[in-house]
Amino acid sequence: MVSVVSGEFLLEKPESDNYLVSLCLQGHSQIFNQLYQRHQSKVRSTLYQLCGNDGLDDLVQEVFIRAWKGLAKFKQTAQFSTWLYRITWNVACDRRRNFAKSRSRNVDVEDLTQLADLSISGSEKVSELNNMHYRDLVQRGLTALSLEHRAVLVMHELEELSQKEIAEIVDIPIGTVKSRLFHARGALRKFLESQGVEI
Amino acid sequence: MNNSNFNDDHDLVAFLKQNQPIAPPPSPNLQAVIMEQVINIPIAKSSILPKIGIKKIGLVGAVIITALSLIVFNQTRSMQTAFNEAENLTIEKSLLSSWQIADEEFTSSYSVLSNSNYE
Repeated sequence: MVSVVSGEFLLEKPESDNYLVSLCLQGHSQIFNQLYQRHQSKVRSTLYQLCGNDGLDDLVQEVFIRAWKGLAKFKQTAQFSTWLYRITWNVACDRRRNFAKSRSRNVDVEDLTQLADLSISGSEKVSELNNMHYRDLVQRGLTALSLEHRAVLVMHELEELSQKEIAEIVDIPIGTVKSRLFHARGALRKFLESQGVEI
Repeated sequence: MNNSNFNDDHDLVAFLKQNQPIAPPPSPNLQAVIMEQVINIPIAKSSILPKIGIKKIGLVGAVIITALSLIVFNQTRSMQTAFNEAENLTIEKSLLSSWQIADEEFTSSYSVLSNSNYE
């Protein structure tokens, strides 16, 4: 149910994505806010794993603006999140084309700055430093993969999408998803082992 | 290096999840910026409906064209048949008349010949 209070839509209970999309298509553009709030963290996280921190806000914005512009093309029989992931993937691919040369991520500096701000004890600091180190390794390991392999690994292992969904998003056969996943895991495993990672 | 660290994918996946790089928070005004753009951009009309419309129009048009073609074809054929019948009648009459003339001429010449033979 939807009620209107001073021009703003308040949803009394969580409605399905498709219902919200249909409201948007009827001209209630404010409803898109709900869709944004629901999906922005997933979109942001995926884009971060795929493209890094440079211009991340711009990329997120690009995804949602593309989604809004193409909302009429969205088939109500499909899942909105899968459709949105597809747009996210396209934005990531466009980004790769625009920045063919991979850029180094400035996560280390940011993370270390954050770490310096933390007022924690020595042992906790060491533990946190280890965590930072591992996160950095994972990030470098992901960056070392091709975008195609990285995307499949991130979507399956971190975003927990099914192989079928990934096949639909990236527009490849499910067999290719399995193959890419296998190779991506292998490559990442080798990278982490080469860095002396012990769990 | 310890190869037994990643004996199966579960360990690797668990390690990945545990040490997943966390995206930095969005700028505070990002949502407002996006919504401002959304409100100012008119939503594109569905491209599916016009396609269906075009398909329907195309289908109806094809049916109309086919029907008209059939009507014109039938009309032409019936006219051609009428013309043919009229022509046939004319030809038939002409043939009959020419046969009649020929028959009369033959009869008269035959009678002349036969008369001369007997004379």
